[in-house]
Amino acid sequence: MRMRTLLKAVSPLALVLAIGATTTVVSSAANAVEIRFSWWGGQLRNQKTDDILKLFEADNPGVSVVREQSDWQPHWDKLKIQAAAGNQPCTIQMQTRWLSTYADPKILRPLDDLVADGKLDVSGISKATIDSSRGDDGNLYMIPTGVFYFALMYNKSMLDDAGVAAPSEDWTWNGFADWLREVKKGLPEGVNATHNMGPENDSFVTWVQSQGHKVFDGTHLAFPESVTADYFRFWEKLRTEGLTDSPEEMLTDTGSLIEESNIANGRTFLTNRPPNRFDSHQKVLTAVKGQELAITPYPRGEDGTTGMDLGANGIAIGAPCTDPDKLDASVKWINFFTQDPRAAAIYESDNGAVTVDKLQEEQLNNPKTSRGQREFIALYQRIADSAKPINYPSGGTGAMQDALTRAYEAVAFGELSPDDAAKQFHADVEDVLN
Amino acid sequence: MTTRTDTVAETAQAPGVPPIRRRPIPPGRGGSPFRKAENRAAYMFLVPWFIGLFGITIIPIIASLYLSFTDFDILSAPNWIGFDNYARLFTHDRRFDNAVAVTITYVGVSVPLILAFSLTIAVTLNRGLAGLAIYRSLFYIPSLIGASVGIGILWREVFGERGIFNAFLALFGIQGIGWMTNPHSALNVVIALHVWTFGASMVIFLAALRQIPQSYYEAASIDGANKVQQFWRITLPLLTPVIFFNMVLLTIGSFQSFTQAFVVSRGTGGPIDSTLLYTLYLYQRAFVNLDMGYASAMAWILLITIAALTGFIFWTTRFWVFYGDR
Repeated sequence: MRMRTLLKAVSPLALVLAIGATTTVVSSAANAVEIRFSWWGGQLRNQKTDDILKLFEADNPGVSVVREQSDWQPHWDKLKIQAAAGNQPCTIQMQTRWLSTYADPKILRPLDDLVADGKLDVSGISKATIDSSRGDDGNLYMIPTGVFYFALMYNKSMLDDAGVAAPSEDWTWNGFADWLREVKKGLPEGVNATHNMGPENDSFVTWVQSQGHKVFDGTHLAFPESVTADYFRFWEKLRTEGLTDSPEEMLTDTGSLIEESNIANGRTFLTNRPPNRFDSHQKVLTAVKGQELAITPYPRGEDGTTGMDLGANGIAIGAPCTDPDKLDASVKWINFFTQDPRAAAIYESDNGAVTVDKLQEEQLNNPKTSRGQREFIALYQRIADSAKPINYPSGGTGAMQDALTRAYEAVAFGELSPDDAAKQFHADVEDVLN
Repeated sequence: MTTRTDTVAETAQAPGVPPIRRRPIPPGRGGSPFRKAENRAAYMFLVPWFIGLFGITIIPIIASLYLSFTDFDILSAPNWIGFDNYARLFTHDRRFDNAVAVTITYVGVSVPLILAFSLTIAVTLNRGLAGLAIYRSLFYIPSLIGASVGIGILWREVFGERGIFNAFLALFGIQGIGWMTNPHSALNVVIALHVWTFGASMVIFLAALRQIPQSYYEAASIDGANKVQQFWRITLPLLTPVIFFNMVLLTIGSFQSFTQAFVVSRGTGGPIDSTLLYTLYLYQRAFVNLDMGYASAMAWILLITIAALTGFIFWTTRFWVFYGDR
């Protein structure tokens, strides 16, 4: 009874408060647009992205952006589930290697019409980079904001101490092996000449393309098993000569944690890494050993054929983003991130060399840009013309990496011969993709 | 003629057996509007549970059965392909065979070990040890946290090439290996992590040990039985119902183990698929390869296997479980 009396007393007040709250929400929603932006990255990139978003929101009163940040893998896991439920954000960070999985008008909005009528600003971005962001159906699904590649990173201080010259950038795989043998003689005790890249997809596709083959033809592998077997034999030779890390260490040193990686701790002389992470590695190496890093391209085939892959990160618009206000805000955000010099200055090519030519030159020549990012951009400009971007089919990147790791592990632990492992690799990839 | 207000059931009774007295139904309650309102209220309170039961259990289970006959890839509509997924699993999938073998090894080794460990520790603790509550809690803690991601990461570091375990071995001049990255030892580490979580079974054994009447031991002792004989002739037979209970729970739980192998192998089931538990492979097909139809077929095979195995364990109880009253 007492409760009923209390309820009677409180309900008019609750009603007033509820109406008040609703009114507030409605009135603020009337002139506000909220969009979501999802991206992947660590702490530093999150901070930079947030700073850029604050600038954008200040420039565009009434537009607010919900930050949806994840690490690399959770970003894609989340996107799959969101796409299945039709709940993907208006703006989504995307990558060419994974684009074909999502390049469907039901998942991402084709952007050609927005580019054609000048709403999306792609000035200063090369046609080749734009075209790399198209799906198999020819539609443009993302605006590329940064171009990335993998290359080799080595300890320059150790090389100087060993008294060996730096490699020329047109070196071959055999030249690379000979150079490592020479360097190994002058390395401190316990330092590996190289990380074993047998299970590394980036190294592998570079090998395949440098032998004159395409990687994919549609959803099928486009190179013979012998190319894969030769690749396994190449790394096995280096491993059995004592030039690489042990098979166990090879699996541990994945590079996911820079602070623990062998290259950043001076335990290995050379490895493969995306050079846009040069500064992060250098910072640790400076603190631990006081040594200096350098980057160089992957070797070429014996006839000089280059094989380096090139990818792009960008921003896509989710298919459910059909509300004109939200779409307009999304377009503004993409333009801001891609073209605004202030945004570019904050981001500093953190996730790939900025795609707008003018901004890229500015960063390259600006002494305030970190040494690592300048070297990364400079090397990109040297390899861009000869690089061979791979058109991965849906699920292709993951299938290749998984199958390659399993196959080369089996070789390194003595379970399979290079020929049998190559056979298994091709069968596994075909099984998953077809 | 009987009415709803009868207090005595007028059913046929055996001679000499007193009639069953039933709780009287208050006048006017049966089928009354008030009664119906009461039922409605009960159902209203049950609604959240029903939503959960249907929304996240029964409907998804039925949906997964349908999806197992399709090529569903999450991002586009499923197409009916009949038994293709099942046929591929049993005839064309080398990794499926491997995952089954790894899982059988994992369950076959870890379940007996957990039973043995938990029973041994429970019997030891049951001997009136001082500070029993503390020991019981200490042994129980791993089963609370053992399946967590944090512990998986901790074990990965402990058994890594530069981990504490190898540092300990180095004190004795033994050169360790990367226990988690060597295909010959990786599964053993995952099994060890699972066995380490024996606390839940131990607590159940402890409770069961307390139920065995002390008089049995006293009688046996008077007859000259020593402690070992008492264990084999009294403790163990009387514990068989609880051993059976723990075995069923552990077997079902072990078939469903996922987190430890996922974290320790960084989601790959490696090296060389040596830690590729069935559930991990299922996850890879579903969320890495986006092969949700195929993964659904795997889930149904797992469900049927677990049900059949549990049924088999139930059937064997007639040979080894002693309920004391038969």
